[in-house]
Amino acid sequence: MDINLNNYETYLLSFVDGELDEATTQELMRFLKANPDKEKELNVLQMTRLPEERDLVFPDKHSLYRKEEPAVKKTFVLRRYQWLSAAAAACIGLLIVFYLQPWKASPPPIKPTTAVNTPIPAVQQPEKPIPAATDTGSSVAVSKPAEKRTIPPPVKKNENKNLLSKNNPVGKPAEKQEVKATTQDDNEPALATIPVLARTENDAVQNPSIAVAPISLKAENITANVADKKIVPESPSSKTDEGKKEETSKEKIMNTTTVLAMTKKDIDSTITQKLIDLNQKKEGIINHIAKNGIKIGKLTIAFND
Amino acid sequence: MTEREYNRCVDLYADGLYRFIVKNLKHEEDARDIVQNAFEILWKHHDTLLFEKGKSYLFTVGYRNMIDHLRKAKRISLVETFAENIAVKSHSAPDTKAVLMNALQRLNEMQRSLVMLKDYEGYSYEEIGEITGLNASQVKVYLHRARLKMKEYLVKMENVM
Repeated sequence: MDINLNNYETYLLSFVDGELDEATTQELMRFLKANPDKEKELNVLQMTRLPEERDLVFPDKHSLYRKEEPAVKKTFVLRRYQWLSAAAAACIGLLIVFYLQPWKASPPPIKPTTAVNTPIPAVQQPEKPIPAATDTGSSVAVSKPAEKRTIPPPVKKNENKNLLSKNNPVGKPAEKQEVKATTQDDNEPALATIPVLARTENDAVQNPSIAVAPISLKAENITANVADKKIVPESPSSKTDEGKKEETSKEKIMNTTTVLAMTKKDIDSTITQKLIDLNQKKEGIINHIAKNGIKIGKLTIAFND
Repeated sequence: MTEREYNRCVDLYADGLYRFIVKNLKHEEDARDIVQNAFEILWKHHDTLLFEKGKSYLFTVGYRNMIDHLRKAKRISLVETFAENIAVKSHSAPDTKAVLMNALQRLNEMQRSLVMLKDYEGYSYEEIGEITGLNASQVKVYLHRARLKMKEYLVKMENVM
C-alpha cells in the first residue's frame, strides 16, 4: 500500500472509524510524521466522533423483560378445549337421540284401549282346549308340554303388584323387562293352559282322580300321576261319580282361567299406566331442554324452534 | 435464544437502541414505542434466533421502524430546520458537545444513523451494512462523507467563535 497526498484522507477517515489494521496504521503514522500539517486535519476529524452518552437510558426497562409460560399451562388449555368439544358433542348426541326417539319404534306403544281389549281373546282361548280334549289330534298337544313349567297359581288382585315388585325389585329401569314379559305372557297362558288342560281333560275322562291335581303340575308330577294311574285299578264305583267329578273339574278349570285372565288384565293395565307416566316424564324433559337449554358449568346450549 | 438470553439482550442493548432512536427522532415517546416494538418482535422470534445475533436483529428492526416512522411523520425537514435554529441560538453559549450535536443534526437521516451506529455501538462497516441494508463499501463511503460534512461544520463554527 502507498499512502500519499492523493489518498491520505480516506486512510485518515478509516483510522477515525477504527477500520485500519496494524500495518496500515503504522504506515499512516509514518505518513503523518512526514506531513505534520495533516496531523491537525486528523485531530479535527477525531472531533467528529460522538462521545459516549451513558446517561441516556431506556426509562422502563422492566416492561421489556419476558417470562416464558410453562408448557403445562399450554397442555391444560388444550385439554380444556378438548373437554369442552367432547361435552358439546355429547349434548348434541343426546339431543339427536331425544328428537329421533328410536325407542318409540321398537316396542309398540300400549294404549289403554288395546290393553283393555287384549285380555278378552286370552280369556276366550282356554275355551278351545275343552273340545280339543275329545279330539284325537290333541295328542300332539299333550306330547308338547314336556317343558318344566308351572302354571302360576290363582292370584288375587292385590297380590299382582307384589308379584310385579318381586319379579322386578329394581323398580323403574326394569319396566322394559315387564313389557317383554307381558308380550310373552300374552301367549303363554294360552299355550301353558292348553296342553295341561288337554291332558287333564284326557285323563279326567279315564280317571277323574288325576284330573283334580293338575294346576301346579310339573312334567315330573304328570309322569308320576301317569305311573299311579297304571298301578291303581279301575273300580266300578268310580264310573258312577264320573259325571259329577267331571263337572267340578270343569268348573275349577274355568275358575282358574278366569282368575288368570283377570291377573293378566291387571298386569297389562299396570304396565300401560307406567308407560304413560314415562312418556309424560320424557315430554317434560324435552320441553325443559327446549325452554332452558342445557347447562354444563358456565356453558349453556340454547335451542331455537 | 432462551428466555434468559432474551432478558440479557434487554440488559445489554435496550439503552443503546433507545439512544440510537431518540437521537434520530428527537422524540422520547416515539423512541420508546419503537424500542418496545423491536423487543416484542425479538421475543416473538427468540426461539429461532441466536443470542449472538440479538443485537444486530434489534438494531435492524429498530432502524427500519424508525425510518418508517420518519417517513410517515415527515419530520425529517422539520428536525433539520429545528437544528438550524438551535445552531443560531447556540452562538451565544458555544459548547463543543452542542456544536457536535448540531453538526450531527445537519446530516441526512442515513448519514446520521451511520455515524451513531459507528460511534455509539462500535459496529463495523459490514455490521452497519446488515442493519441498514447497504453493502460495506457503501457504508464506508457514506460514513466518510458524513464525517467530512461534520468536520466542515466544526471548522466553520471554530472560525466563527
